[in-house]
Amino acid sequence: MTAMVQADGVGRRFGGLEVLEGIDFGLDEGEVLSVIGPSGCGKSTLLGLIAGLDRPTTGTITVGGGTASDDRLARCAYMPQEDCLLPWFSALDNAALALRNQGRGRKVAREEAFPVFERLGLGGFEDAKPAELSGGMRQRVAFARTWLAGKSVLLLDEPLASLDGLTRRSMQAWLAPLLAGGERSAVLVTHDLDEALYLGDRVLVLSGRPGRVLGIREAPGRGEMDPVEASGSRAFSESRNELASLLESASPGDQIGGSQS
Amino acid sequence: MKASQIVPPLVLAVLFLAAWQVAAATGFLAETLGLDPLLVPSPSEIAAALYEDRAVLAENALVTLWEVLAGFAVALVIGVGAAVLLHLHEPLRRATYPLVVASQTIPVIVIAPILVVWFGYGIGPKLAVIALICFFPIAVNTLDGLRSVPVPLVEMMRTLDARRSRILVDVELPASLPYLFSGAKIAVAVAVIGAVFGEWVGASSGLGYLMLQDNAQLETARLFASVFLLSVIALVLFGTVALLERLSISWR
Repeated sequence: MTAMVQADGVGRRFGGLEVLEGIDFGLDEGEVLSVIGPSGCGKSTLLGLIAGLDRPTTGTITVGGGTASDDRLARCAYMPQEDCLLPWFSALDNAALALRNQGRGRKVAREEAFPVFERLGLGGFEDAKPAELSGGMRQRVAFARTWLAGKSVLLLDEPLASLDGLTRRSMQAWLAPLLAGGERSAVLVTHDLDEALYLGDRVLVLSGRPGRVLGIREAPGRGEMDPVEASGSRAFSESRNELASLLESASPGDQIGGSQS
Repeated sequence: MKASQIVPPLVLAVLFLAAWQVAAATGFLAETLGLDPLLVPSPSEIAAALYEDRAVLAENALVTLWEVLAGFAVALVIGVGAAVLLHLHEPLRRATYPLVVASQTIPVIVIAPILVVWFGYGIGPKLAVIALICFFPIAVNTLDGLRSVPVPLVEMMRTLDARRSRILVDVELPASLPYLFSGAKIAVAVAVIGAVFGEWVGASSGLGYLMLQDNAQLETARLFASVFLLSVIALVLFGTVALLERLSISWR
């Protein structure tokens, strides 16, 4: 199996501030890798590096078997932490942004985007402006936009962090089968252990600054159950405890959120 | 607009006019200022002048209105154009931004006679004066607006295969619209002053020209009538821009 993303000894320094150091990992085709770590450990920086928005100070990153100097922007779709919807465009036009950018006319782009839009439960809200949508719906539009870019690698930066607990649970439930479909590979940054285990195939744990890989663990039975059920299972809580102690070893006193964070 | 927005300024205006009327009609104002009563018209005399000379006033007001609209349009095109150019070209922005600021420090009243020498007595120098003072608020505000777009928004567009031109049209220009309108509202208000300056140094019509004539002939009532019309023009233009703003920024 070819690695969709391969990071070798990746480090990033901003001036005198070491943010990431010696990051090694691979992402297989169709795999979802959750990245978890204390705040400020460089999770978002890592996504920016993979996306090609930023260059590592040391080491190399390749995407889709290309070379390190390739234009990675062309292979990754990046979903920033904020939904970043354009307030002057309707929900469907926002979702269809990538298709428009790739040269389709507005009408064609909307038609192509609609099936995904509907599948995410947004049918009927095509012409609503982002300001008229709830937080959960805005996140779904942002996800549709990322998905519709047609890239093989999705980079999701805390896609559900801004949502309240209940909404987040239901978002996890619709995100899981999409990611589990194996069509796309994804790197999912989160600060929620349950979410990392539930949505990811594997979980990469970063240490506090400078961010280093503390370990990569398999996630048991991802996406097969309802998120609430999953978090109650035995394998799940064992993995969670293991990850939690791994995190604590790196950053004593730093609060890492469980499901309630 | 709600009544709570209209009533207070209206009450204040009526009180002011009433006080002025009494002070002028009784000769109190002229006596206090040590002036001939002829030089201190009351609001009713100004209203009478406004009515009696309506044909002359309207004719000249239209000339001034046309100058203001044309000068503002020129400033809008050049101001937005310059803002986009400077935004897209960082070295150019750094090199020319001080010049843009300098353009605002030129005292318009000083440069106006030179413009008349250059462009003659036609509409040219008036357009230049108006455009010059309107250019600054429009260009600076639009540039601020273009630069106000958060970085993640631009990065998101880049990972969605957006070319530079698409980011400009779909993200940066819409984001700069509220800023552009703020600049345009300031611009239309000062544009009227620019028109009067332009007419003072060389014109054969317009409210500014009429004011000069009336000043020389001690037609003070009509002079005030011209001032009144000028502020009406400024208010109507300001209101129009504010209305356009509300209509075009529908997403807020």
